[in-house]
Amino acid sequence: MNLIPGLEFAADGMTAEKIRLEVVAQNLANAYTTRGPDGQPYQRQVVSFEAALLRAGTFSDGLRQVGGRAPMTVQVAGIQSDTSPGQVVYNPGHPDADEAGMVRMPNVNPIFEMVDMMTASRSYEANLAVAKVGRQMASKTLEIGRF
Amino acid sequence: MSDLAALSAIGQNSSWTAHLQDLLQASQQVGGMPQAVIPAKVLQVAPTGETQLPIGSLPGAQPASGVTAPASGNRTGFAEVLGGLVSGVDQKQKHSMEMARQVMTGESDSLHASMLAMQESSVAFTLMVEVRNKLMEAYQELMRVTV
Repeated sequence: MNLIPGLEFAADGMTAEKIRLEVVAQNLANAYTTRGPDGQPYQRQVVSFEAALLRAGTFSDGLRQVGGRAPMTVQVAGIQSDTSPGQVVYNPGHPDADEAGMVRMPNVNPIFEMVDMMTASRSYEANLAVAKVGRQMASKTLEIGRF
Repeated sequence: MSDLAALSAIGQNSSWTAHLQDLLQASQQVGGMPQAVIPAKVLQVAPTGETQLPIGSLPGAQPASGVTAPASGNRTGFAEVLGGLVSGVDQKQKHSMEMARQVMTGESDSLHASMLAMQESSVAFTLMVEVRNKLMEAYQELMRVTV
């Protein structure tokens, strides 16, 4: 019994955007981490989404396909490191400075992370709006019988 | 109720009263509907066991010892439909309570999943209430029929 239309898609979208926001938070927190557990400066992490078949397998009313395509929901494909090199700054007093006094900083650009955060937030709100509107549609439908 | 007693006494073999008896017996099986207090002698449906009788040919000669279940293997009356709906709603409510408990005890982080499950269970409950209202209306409409 699946009463609210579009609910699984909205839920999966919100889960994915939550993960994206958490990765952004991780990047921002580690924006100046010059030494990680492996001794290397922190590498910016990037989330990638992929489409996945919906678990239940059908749109509502048992429709298996619409236009020849099965319902696809989103899931996080993986979290990869961004391998571009970070900035190297001259800071001889830094504990992680090498012999020439240069410190390699992480390749995290706070501006980019803020934009990603806005994207994640707006996308989360969009999925939330889908869930809300779906619930409103279901509630209004149940009011047909009332006078 | 006295009308019904008169009806049943008069037309044991008529399909119309058999319909009415079915409806009343079905309504008695569903919790939440008002329990119709009908003396056992009035509802006289021949116990048929496994055999499948079409509604129109229910004989009704011998008094039953008590109110018997509708004599059907696979006839879907109000009782079965409403019972299925009630169990579906109950499952949804249990699921939503379980998800809320998981979020509150920290076992799960998906706040949005528990909120959406609560919305779904609330819509399902409203659906059950509307179905009950319609059944009550139909029941009262039938009761208002004068001979």
